[in-house]
Amino acid sequence: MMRVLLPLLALTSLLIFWQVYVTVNDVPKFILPAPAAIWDSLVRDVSVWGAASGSTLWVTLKALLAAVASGVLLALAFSLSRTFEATVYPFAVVLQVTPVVAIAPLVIIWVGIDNVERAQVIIAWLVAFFPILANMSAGLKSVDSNLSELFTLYKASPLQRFRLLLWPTALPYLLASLKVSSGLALIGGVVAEFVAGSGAATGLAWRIIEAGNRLQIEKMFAGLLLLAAIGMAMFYGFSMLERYLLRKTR
Amino acid sequence: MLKIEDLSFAYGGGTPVLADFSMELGRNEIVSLLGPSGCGKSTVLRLIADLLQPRTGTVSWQHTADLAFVFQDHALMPWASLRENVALPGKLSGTFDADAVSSAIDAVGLSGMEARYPSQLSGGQRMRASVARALAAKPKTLLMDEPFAALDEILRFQMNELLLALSEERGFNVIFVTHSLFEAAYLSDRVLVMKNGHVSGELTPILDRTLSAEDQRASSAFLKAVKEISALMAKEDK
Repeated sequence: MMRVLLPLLALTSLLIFWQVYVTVNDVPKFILPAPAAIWDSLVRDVSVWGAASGSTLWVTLKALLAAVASGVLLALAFSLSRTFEATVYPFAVVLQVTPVVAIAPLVIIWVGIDNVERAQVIIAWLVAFFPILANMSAGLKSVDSNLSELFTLYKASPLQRFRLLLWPTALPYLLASLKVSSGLALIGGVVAEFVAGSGAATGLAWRIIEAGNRLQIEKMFAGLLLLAAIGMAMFYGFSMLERYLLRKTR
Repeated sequence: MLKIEDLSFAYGGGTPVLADFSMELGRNEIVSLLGPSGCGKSTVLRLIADLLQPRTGTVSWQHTADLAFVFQDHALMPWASLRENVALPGKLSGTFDADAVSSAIDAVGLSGMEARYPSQLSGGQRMRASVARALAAKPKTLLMDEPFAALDEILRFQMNELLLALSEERGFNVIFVTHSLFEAAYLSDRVLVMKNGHVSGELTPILDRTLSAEDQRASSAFLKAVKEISALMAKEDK
């Protein structure tokens, strides 16, 4: 209970301080809008914000799904062949360490001219993919050696070994990586929208750019607030999923 | 029942862990392998279980092997209930028998805890679950690699008594790896002392099994067996 109440109390205090500070000091709204103004902006354009949030969330979820599928399959392939892992893993690291902002324009040019969403998904996938691959690989390697020997002793089929041993062992690692990768996918999607530029994208990032160009700072804050809310919802959603799925193993 | 001849083995082509290791196992016999760390005791069990392949030598069975393995670590699946863990050998080998699972759980005194997960069991209960899993495979030979080493002395005694009772009741052989002279003297029909990858000495403790466990451990025959094993351990390898 305290874990919910304390952050809420801190947030409420911050908002009150912010509102009072801006009102008392008469801070211009193009410098720092009051929380009430940001709330007004959200309520006034609720349908616009709803559509933009939906678009950003859709891109993020598609990228995350692709990252999970590709990360899990590649990690599985790594566990089957050390040679394959040694060959491919450095390329995965290259994708991880190269700043996505530097790759994004290329992706937009290659696949995003006629379909920006496709480019957004690819860019978001690029940043979300590696933590899933790395964690899933670590999970598959963490199999209890005695249990593994037991599966060999009782002549388990490869499918049985995967279903009853490898997958359950790696699941906590995968769930932990989802909390990281969901946030990264969101960042990737936002970066893609920024790079795609005016008009082509319809998500929250584009709404923030548009508001910035018009000096509508309260709208920029509203967009940021929604991005943070989506990120938080995904993080805590996956935390709850993790707690539920692993409730009996801890 | 089981005959091992001139077994040698080395991990990754390095220094041999086993060299000219030979032993036999008779019907309904409990044989302990005792020796210092690194002398190859656990390796012998893995070669018998076909989990490792020997460099030279043979492992031959008179009938089918029908093995089960109990490790030092309980090696239970944390994501599965006690019942699911005990049912694992049957599920993997396609010989699942619900009655055998229930009977194995009952035999180790864990009835009523079938739905519990390993995290909900104590250390002793987890080890009992591990033994139950082995029993559910209906083995003719049980390979045990320091299974009770992590338990406290009282629990270890209880598990020793349980093992003796189960072995007699179900009629399986045991090859038991241990570091404990007392455990080896109490449990074994024969104790094989290992040094430098082969058997360097052998002893047959003769205990009066009609006595209670406490009386057996307090008997002069038991203390004599411990003393003799200790002497074998201290003896220079030829």
